[in-house]
Amino acid sequence: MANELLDVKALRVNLTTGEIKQESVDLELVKKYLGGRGLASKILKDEIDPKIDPLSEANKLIFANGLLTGTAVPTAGRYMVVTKGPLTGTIASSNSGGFFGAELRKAGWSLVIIEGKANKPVYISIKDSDVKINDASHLWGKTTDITTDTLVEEFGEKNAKVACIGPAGEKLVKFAAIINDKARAAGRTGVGAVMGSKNLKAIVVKGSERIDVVDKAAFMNAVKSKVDIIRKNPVTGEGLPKLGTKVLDNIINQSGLYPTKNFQFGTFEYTEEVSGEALVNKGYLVDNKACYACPIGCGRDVVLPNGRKGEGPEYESAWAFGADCGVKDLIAISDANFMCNELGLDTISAGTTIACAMEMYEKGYLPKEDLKDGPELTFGSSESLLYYLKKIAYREDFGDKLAEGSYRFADSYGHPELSMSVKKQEIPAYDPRGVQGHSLEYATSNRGGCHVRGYMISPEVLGVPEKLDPQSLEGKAGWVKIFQDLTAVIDAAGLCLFSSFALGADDYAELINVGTNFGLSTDEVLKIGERIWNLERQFNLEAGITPAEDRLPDRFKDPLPDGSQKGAYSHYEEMLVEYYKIRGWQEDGIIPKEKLEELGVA
Amino acid sequence: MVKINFFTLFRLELGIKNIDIDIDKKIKLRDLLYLAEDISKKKFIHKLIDEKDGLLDSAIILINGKNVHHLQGLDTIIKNGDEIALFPPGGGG
Repeated sequence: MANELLDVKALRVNLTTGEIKQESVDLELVKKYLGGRGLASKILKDEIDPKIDPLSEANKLIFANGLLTGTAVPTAGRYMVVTKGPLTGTIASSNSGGFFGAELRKAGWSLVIIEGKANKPVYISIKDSDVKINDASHLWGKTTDITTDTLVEEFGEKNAKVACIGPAGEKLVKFAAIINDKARAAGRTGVGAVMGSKNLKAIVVKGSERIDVVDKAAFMNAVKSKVDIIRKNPVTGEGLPKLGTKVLDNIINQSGLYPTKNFQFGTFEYTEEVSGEALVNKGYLVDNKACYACPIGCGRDVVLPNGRKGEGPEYESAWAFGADCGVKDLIAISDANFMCNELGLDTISAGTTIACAMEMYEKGYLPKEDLKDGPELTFGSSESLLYYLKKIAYREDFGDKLAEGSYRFADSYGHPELSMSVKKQEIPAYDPRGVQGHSLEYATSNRGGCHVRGYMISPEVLGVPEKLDPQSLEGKAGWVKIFQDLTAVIDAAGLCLFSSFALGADDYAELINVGTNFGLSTDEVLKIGERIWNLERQFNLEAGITPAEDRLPDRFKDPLPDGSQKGAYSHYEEMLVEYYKIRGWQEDGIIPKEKLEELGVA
Repeated sequence: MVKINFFTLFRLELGIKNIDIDIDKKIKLRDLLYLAEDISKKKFIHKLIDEKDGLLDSAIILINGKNVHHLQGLDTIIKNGDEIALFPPGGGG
């Protein structure tokens, strides 16, 4: 069968009835939303009531490939899981790389829309157009590595790819992840809990069709030129391949932005012990790994002295278990990352939730007896880190409280102010007080605290595409809007955000056009990003997430106590008015009807 | 004395973690970097400065934690006691 790029097909699987349907997506919708995060968000908003309980049968879970996923375009291995998220109550979309998405596209599927709830554990098998719902009772309770190996063997295709949940998803941990290829995570927003709520353990897929484009010669020329740009760029051609994402540890720490002990400080005195350089010098790093069609290869293959091995740790994960918890043991930090992959947990929320509990314990807000037989929750304790991670995943003892995420946990003890979260999702590894644009980006993110909805660290700290003063407010609202819109395009195209260290909006427009003949201008491509952003925002507003939640924890109004940014605090509130205006929204943050009509979202 | 700390790929590929340089008077950053190359006998300036003698946007040079892009760039005056951090272009997230 032909597998054309513009033949966008959806598989609709109803787990309540067992019905499996194959649908074609209207090309006009593809032109408006491309795919991935865009197309799936549109479908979700059209098909569910934004007010539903995220863990109810009424929620839908959409695995969505980007428009270019599975093609030869560099970094085109990304897929998105879109649903209503249990951690935030917002629209949730969580991105992952590896090989699962590309395999799914090669099987002919751009989207898999999961509906309803199975009455027992099941998994879905896909071999091109042969799709089945299968019993997964024997897999329930298993970690993601065992689940993956078992399914690949049972399926009888050694190159089959698996996306699955671990015990954390089954137990409805609010920040459970979906893990594909054993170590790649659709990590954030609790998409794994939604999968668990549907009794869906896994999807295993094998595809056999290459994807055809309109003009193959022109397409491959464009691909070659972008690969060349990525390879020649010092960030994507050298820094990321050689050091991975942990190239950032010392950069961010030296810049005074490395959140330490639940964001109480901006520098970590043991950074040298846990940095990317240390991972190399201590001999733990064995090799680097690349996702599908990726010339960067930022993944890490690590073997620890205790014999444990796996992928990672990534910058965010190592920070969450390291500086944020005050832990300086790189072995424990790496092990915590591996455990999260096996148990199916989001590393950022897991680490930051434990860090929150550590601060509460040290401040005397958390009675020792509540920990049952567990170790004391003190900053720096690698023992407690590993102990409580497991307890969270299985919702055992005190872990059951932590499994609700830092906001609900801290709130239950009367101290919600100690949750370092936005819209109830934990903030990642950059203290917003020292980077004003990034601070605004955190506050306005449609999926709660997040760094990959508009990575302002790039211009404000890393000088890409140009160096902006991190403390200046001037023009930052406009920068945030453009970064958010462009990121939505990259996500909808199915490309990795890291490609944007080397490529710009014109490059993405060219890649989209050469594959589709859409003939879009760069402005029109950015308009697609704006449409996606507004659609997500409108979903949230209809879900009852008001603009009052475009806010940071009060801690960030207080000055940083240490480091090179000592004295700095977040000015996000001063920029919000301008941001709403630039977005064409009302002063109160509501999207006016005219804007929705202009974008075709209404 | 001025301490220059090398990070990320500089540290791994040049094989040096830091060097101390004695300066008897204030010196511009540009001159200090060339002095550091002479003393260390390692080449690293090409990762920070372009062929027109301009500071690369993505070069990260911190003086006491402050990025020189927002000071006086390569003309920033360095004085005794300053600590300098050098990073070739890098990014992740």
